[in-house]
Amino acid sequence: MIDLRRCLLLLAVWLLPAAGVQAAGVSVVVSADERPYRDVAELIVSGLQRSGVTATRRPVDALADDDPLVVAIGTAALTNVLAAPQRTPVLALLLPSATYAALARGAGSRPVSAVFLDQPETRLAAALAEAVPTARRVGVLVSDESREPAERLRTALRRHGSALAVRAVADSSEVLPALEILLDDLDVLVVLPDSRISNRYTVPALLLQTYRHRIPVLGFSQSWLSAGAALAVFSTEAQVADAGLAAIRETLTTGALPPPRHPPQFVVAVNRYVARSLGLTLPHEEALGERVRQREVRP
Amino acid sequence: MSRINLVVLPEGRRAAVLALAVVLTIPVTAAAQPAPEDAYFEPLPVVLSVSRLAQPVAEAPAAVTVIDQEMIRTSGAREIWELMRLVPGMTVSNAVGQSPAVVFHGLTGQFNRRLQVLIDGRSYFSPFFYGGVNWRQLPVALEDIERIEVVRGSDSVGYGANAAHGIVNIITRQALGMPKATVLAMQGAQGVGDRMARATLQGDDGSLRVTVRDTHDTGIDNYRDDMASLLFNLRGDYRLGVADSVRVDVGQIRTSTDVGEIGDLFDPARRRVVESAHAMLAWQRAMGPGDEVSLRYFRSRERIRDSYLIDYLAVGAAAGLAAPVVTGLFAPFSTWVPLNYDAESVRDDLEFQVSSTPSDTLRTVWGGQWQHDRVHSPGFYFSQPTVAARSVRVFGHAEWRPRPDWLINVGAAWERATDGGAHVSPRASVSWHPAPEHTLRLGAARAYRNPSLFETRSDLAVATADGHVIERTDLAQGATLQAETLRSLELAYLGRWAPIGLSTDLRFFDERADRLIISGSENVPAGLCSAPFIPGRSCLTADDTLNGQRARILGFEHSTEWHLARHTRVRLNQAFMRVRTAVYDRTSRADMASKIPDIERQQDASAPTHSSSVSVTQQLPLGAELSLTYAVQGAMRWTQNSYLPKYRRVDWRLAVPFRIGPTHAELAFVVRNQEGGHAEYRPEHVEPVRAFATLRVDL
Repeated sequence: MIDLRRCLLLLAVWLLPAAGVQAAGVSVVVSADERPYRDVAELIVSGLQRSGVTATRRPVDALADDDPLVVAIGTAALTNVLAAPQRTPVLALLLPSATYAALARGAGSRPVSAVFLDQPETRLAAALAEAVPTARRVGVLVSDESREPAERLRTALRRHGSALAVRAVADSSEVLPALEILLDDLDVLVVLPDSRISNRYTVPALLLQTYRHRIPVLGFSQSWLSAGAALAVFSTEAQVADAGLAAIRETLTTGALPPPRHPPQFVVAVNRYVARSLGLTLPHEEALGERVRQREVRP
Repeated sequence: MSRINLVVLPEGRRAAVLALAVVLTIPVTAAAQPAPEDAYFEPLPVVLSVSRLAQPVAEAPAAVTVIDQEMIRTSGAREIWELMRLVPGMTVSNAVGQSPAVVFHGLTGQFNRRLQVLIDGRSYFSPFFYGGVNWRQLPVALEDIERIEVVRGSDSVGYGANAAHGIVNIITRQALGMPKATVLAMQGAQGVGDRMARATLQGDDGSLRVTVRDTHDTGIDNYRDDMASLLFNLRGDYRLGVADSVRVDVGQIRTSTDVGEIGDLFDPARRRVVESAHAMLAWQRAMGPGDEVSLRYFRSRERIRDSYLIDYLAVGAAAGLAAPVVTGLFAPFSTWVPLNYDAESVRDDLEFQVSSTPSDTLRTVWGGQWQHDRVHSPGFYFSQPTVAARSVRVFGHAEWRPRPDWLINVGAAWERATDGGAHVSPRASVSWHPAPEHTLRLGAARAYRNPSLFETRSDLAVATADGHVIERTDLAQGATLQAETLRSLELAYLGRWAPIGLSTDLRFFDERADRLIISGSENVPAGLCSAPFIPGRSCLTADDTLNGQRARILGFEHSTEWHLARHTRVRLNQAFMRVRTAVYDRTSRADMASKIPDIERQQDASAPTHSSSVSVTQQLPLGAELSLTYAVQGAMRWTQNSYLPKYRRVDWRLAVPFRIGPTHAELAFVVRNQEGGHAEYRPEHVEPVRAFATLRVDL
């Protein structure tokens, strides 16, 4: 019986020009050849090559056993890499902490770590404390996906003297009615990454309702900011790549993966139009980012 | 946790081909489902685009009062015009027997035609209705209003022609976020028996709202001012993609009002029916928070049915002529002469607008508008029953922030209209923030009001069926009328003290109006009236409209709000102003000279020197809400022959929400003008106490 795996490997080695001249190098696997995975992959590859480390983008089937490290970009990439037979250490990027936790449980003894995409709840609480210091009542909608992050947010907010109101929904159709009840007595609404609460269909109604009640929204991405959130805390692709590069260098020099972590660099972005319309005076983005960084460490 | 074992493939050859494909195209095997990280990168529609956001009052280039849903609700207003009482500088009255009178900064007249009123940017300045706004004919239900932005001053740049003496822009609610269905009933004194029903359809990519409202009341006792109207309005919003959205708004309203006086020969008691309908289509593309393109077309049509017969036998008898004599004068025509004030008008309007943010510190808006009005009314425009007017406007505005604490707004509009010619209306303002929540603004503007079709071309005639003019009235010799001008200067201060919940918006203003159009009177030129007419009753004098007045309005107004406690809010509005007018007559007409003192006396008193209102809203246990408003208005003259003394009024509202199973409902009691007994327009019309109850159920 032909060993198919060997065949594939040989084919890959033959067809991918760069792969032929490989000694041990970092392999980068993407979930799909499109933004944002491709952009982060390119930043990682070029960043490593500038430091003199060999790095190549490879499909999951072309991974070599003797690579010191595999970087998996995205949930699909991590899933595929963990399913592959190699025992190479894996560093995952561009996926949420909850997804990573679920996938890493099935990794067995294989060394695996990540730099998450989502922000730590302490950072969100610090952002609120800096940007809207008078906001004492914070609200959030949750479904099963975001129940735990919400509880962590509650603890983080308590340290800043704010209270968290939580309303649970089972699916998207319950979002608006739950929001209406929640908005009754709120200073700011936080949107957590949760596919049932934040999707193309719920977002317009969610933003219109909160705006009607004159309540600012703290979002988790650039898209949210453009859509109408007054504030958003997120890490850009470049920042994710930088964090990945730092983790990779640490792995290569110490020989062990660093523990999984949230991205150290982030942006606190402001939608000036919405903020002004709501009567919020927000500091400039750079200053705000710096203050949040300090506040996160010392609440 | 199951593993996806990619390498185990069923058949050798198929496997090789698959493997090749997989290798060449970089596998996407597990990415068919949406990945958890998609939420971070999925492009979302720009929901709160620049045009949807309410003008931030502290950054606006002019003085703006925003009437939001909370203010609408707590005011207890039943009709839209009543909400104008919440704006400092506005003088508002239920002009009995006519459309409600709403005027900003004085200069009232028989027909108040200087305020621009828009619904979602569509002008409701009627081309026919003496060039004013018929407040009861607005095709929007009070309950469908998202907010009203009132510009207390000029804004020809933003709102086009005739936006010189105040602009009221009524912004309607989108269906998204509204209850699925709402039913409302208002019942009370003066025959108030309103009913409203609204249903919404909300889907993933669009929403639809349909509203029907039946409004009626019997007005003041002993006066013929009963009114009934039926309104239908549909608004649909549909999202075509991430950036594009389309809006449709269709509506119709039919109002019938009692007009005239019993026994009056020329204005007999009768019912006038006005029907208007509109259809609007708008497209908007929002590329990002500050980048937007929009295009809008609308057509509105108004039809007035008001015709009756004049009994010339009675007219003759009043002049001392015996019936056979009158019959003889009129032979071979009947002594019953039909008077037809029916009218039909159509307006077409096309507007486009582009907003962009060329840099972090600069935002621009520019665009153009084309408008075409046609009116057909043999009764109002006798010699040429179909009249038309066109206007074209191009505008541009820039908002520049050279430093975070300085904001400069500059804009201009160029406009050309059939009546009034071409002009440029510039506007500029500088705002400085000495501290984050405080603003000082200095602004100047020049604006124009084009003469209305009625002012330039009205020609009311009483004629027999085959065109013999018996009498001619209101013949406007207005062909040479020029546009009125308004130059304004203002110094404003806005401040907010968040810790104590206090905010204020105050300003000093100096407005100079010139070439104001007034009516002189002159005998109708010879040859324009023909026999038969009653001897002794001459072919009536005509309204010679001319640019013959200037005015200067100086004053101070403010709006202060205090969030006194968690559940208590106090709002104080005040306006102090002085109007000084002068009539300068360009033609020498004896009867005009004798009228000037009367005209000036009325115009100088056309705004009260002082008006104030304070309202308190208190949240009570169980979700109930009590609001109380106390208003004082100084003495003034709405018309030449009436003097309105100072009056006070108290309005209050108590609302109690409750549930009927899963549905939300609210019962409210409203009492407007608690004390009653005073006049608000002419001294002989005493405003009664108006009380009614409202029940609203949201399904």
